[in-house]
Amino acid sequence: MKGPFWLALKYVAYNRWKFCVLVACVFLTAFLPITIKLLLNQFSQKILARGASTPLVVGAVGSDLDLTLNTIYYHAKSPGEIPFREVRQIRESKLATAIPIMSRFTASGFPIVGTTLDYLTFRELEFKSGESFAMLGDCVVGASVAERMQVSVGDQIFSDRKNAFDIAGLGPLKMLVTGVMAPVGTPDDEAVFVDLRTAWVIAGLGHGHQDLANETDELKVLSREKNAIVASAAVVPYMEVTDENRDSFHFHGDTDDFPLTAIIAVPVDEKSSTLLQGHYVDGIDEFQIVRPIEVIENLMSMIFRVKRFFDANAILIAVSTVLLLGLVVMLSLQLRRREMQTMFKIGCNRSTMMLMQFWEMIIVFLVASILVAVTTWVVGYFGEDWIVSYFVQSR
Amino acid sequence: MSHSFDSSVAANSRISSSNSFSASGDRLENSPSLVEIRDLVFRYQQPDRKSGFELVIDELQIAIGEKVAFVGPSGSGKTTLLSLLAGISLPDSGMVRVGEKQLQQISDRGRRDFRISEIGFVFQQFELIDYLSSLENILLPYRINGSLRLTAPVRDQAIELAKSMGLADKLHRHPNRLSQGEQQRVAICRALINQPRLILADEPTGNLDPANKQLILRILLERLQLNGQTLVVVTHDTGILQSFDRVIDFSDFHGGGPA
Repeated sequence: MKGPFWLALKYVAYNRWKFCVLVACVFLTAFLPITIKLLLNQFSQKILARGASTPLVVGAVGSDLDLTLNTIYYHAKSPGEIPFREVRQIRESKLATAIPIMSRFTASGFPIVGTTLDYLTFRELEFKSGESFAMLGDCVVGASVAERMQVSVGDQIFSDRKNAFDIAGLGPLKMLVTGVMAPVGTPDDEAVFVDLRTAWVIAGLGHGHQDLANETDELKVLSREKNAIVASAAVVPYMEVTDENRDSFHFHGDTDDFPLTAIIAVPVDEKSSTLLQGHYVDGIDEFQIVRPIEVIENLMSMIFRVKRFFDANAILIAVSTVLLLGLVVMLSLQLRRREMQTMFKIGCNRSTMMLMQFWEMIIVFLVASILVAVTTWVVGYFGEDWIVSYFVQSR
Repeated sequence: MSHSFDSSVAANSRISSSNSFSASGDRLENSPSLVEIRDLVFRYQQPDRKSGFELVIDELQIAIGEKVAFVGPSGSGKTTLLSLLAGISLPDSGMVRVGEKQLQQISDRGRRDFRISEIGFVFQQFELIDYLSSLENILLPYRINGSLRLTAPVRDQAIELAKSMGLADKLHRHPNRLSQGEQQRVAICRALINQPRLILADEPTGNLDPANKQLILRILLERLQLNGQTLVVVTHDTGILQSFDRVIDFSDFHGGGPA
């Protein structure tokens, strides 16, 4: 055992490039299917769990997948809009708790989720430090956001300007971090939570500026008609909500018409759930209600169907690789016939020679397996973000 | 030196040549024999099955410490006889004894163990293992057969042997970085490391230039003289024959009978 293994090691060390090529063949053949399987399983478990924990989602008619992914992962392509009025109506129906979600903006790339305190309760999110958003302009950051942005309670963060050419919209809003969430291992770690009204301010539906009632500068006031004052562009809206200017913030229009990206509906019971679904399925054309778990299951089913095709492909590649490796071994045996004859003449057992070849292949497979294990672990550890961004954020 | 030979031609039409001899030669007087062959018949058929070869030896003895050279044209049976002496091939009939062992009476495994402990091989093409260093090549017999145990003293002995062959600074070089003379010296060290009683050398100087030829032969003979080991060499090189105790010429019997 010792001699053949030693000889195999020597052979492998001397023919290191040939060895590397063989290892690479085995590694690549095994790595892709194993890693994809691992990542998909991880992703599947997490997204299904997330879907299952979100009973119903109401949103604008359109892609149910976009609506679901945007509501549970925030990052996905923004669905259409649903007015805040629907929240009130669901609440008044007493069929479900309605949690509004406005997820259209970002802060340093992290999604800003405009919602109510009900959301934190619904997700059972706990604070690592600080407290919830209480005032306009306050925000609570997820654990990952706090870590990556290096922010803590008392710090301030800016919302991202959605479009550099959007001169009519509000500039970045400076928000005060009032709390940091404990990590939960869900997309909530990656989000910035604000009060719904703060999200609307970021959307430009509300703003604060200097008092124009007593303003005499004609450059700032274009006209005064009864109760309406028309301000010019010279009046700069506040980019930060402070104790001094908080009262000046106001919204134009009826908040019932203000947009949401979705409403999470937590039905009181099964019957309520059925009634609520029936209400949106039958009665209202402009909105839809979806069960996220069903949407996610459909998505995963499609992904796994595609994966089966790749699995079949991977099996063919593996068979080809094994055949090629067999050919390489056979050619190698032919090339090494003299070496084997010499060893035999000297007094080497045939079993020793076989064992030597066996160890050489074992070393190739062992090294390739170790590489596969290490890289799969690394990809499994860091790859979840990638796969979420691939399947969710890229939508 | 006197040889007496007989020849016989096989009746089988596929057999194209036949060698037969009975040789006692100039065996070292009063020395006990290390090798003894009696009534040996070995038939070999070419892969094309149209031609073949038959080697018949009535009697041959080689004494302990004797240096014997086999000369003759290609295909006359010299290398075949080396294979028979090493137990690589077995005779169709007759007896081959080396030391106390009758080779046809021991198993395959036994013959491999016999080769590793009793025989040292030197080849024309050196046959060093290219992925092993000189020292590792010398110690190869200890790596490929469980009956030999590689210990620190054995390793020291290999280093000393290599040094005595002028390979002190080449111990960790691979064969492709050695000259041909150096490669053959490494091969001789490998053949000698386990102190075999019988050294079988197939054209050991065949690939060497004249200077190296003399050097290698001198080293080999000196080393064998030192330990009283027996040497059987197959060679085409008549220039080195004077160094041997006995020369057995196979050419006289080639083609069916002595010239």
